[in-house]
Amino acid sequence: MMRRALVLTVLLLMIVTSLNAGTLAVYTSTIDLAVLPVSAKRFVLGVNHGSTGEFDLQIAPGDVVSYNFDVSNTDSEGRVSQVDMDLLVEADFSSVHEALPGIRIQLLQGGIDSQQVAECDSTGRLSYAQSVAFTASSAAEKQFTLAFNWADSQAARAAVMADRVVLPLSVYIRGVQHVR
Amino acid sequence: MKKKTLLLTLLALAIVTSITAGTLAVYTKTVDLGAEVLIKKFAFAAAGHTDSSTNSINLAPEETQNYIFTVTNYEGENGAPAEVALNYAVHINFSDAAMKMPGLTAVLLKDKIEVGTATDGIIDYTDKTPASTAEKHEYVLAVTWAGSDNTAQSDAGIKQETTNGLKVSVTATQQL
Repeated sequence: MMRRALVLTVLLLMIVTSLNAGTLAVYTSTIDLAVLPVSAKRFVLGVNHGSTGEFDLQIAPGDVVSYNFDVSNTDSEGRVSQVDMDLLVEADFSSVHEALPGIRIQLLQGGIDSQQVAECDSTGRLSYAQSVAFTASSAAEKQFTLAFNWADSQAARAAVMADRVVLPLSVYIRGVQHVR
Repeated sequence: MKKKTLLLTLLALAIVTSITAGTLAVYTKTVDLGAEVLIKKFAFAAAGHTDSSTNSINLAPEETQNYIFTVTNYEGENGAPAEVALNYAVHINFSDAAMKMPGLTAVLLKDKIEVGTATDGIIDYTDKTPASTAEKHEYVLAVTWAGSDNTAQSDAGIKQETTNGLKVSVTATQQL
């Protein structure tokens, strides 16, 4: 009796499995589209500012001292930035302005025929911004000069009579992706 | 005696068989029907391209690029449509790019209506096509590099991060 029940159960299971397997068979297909590369556009701001020693300027009344630096949109391997870029040059010369009476600090752009693009204000701050200074994927380099012109005067001479003065300088160059 | 009985039995059997065969003779005719069994057509295709000349997505922050793809229940230009209704599932994965390019996101549009938004670089969407009627579903995946993390995004641009890319797969299954 027991054996008969077992045989019947197994038979039933076989029928159910067969039916299920039959009903699960359906058309199906998967298409994988070609993988699309996704990457970030290259962003490069190159600044060639020479050695630290070049920025240690020594100046006396009546002197004109300049510091040159180049800004580009390429890296050391020649790869060009893939975005339009705005350029911002900022400097805080307030300590120089206070310590060296009558000093004039200008930012010039260009090589031999350089043009003044910015000058320190009465607080010693200098700021220059150029929209789309660099065009995407087009290599370019811009030459800048910081010119320190200390006019000779009684006040200037009085300043150098004191102890040797060492003044900090800092120039901040920033490239920002141009957003239209 | 025994032999006689056997012979009688054989004789009786021969008679019965003869009679029975005779009574089974009836009208009979066979007709072969020329029917066919046809398998219903299953057809399904998907294809995609970008809206730029280069078949890639190359973004700077705040930029958007579109990837356009179609799903059809027929193959080729004017192929016969599938004779079964289809359910299909679209799976879009650019999770590696989303991780390396913080703020990278995408929306899926069908007929210019948004039907999906990426979560960690993944979009899943399901739809269907009818039986025996050709349908072409057009999708636009608008990939945008948004966000406000300038430092991380600039870092990705300076490194010019490359990623495992964007993968789109479409699986169609016969509707039951």
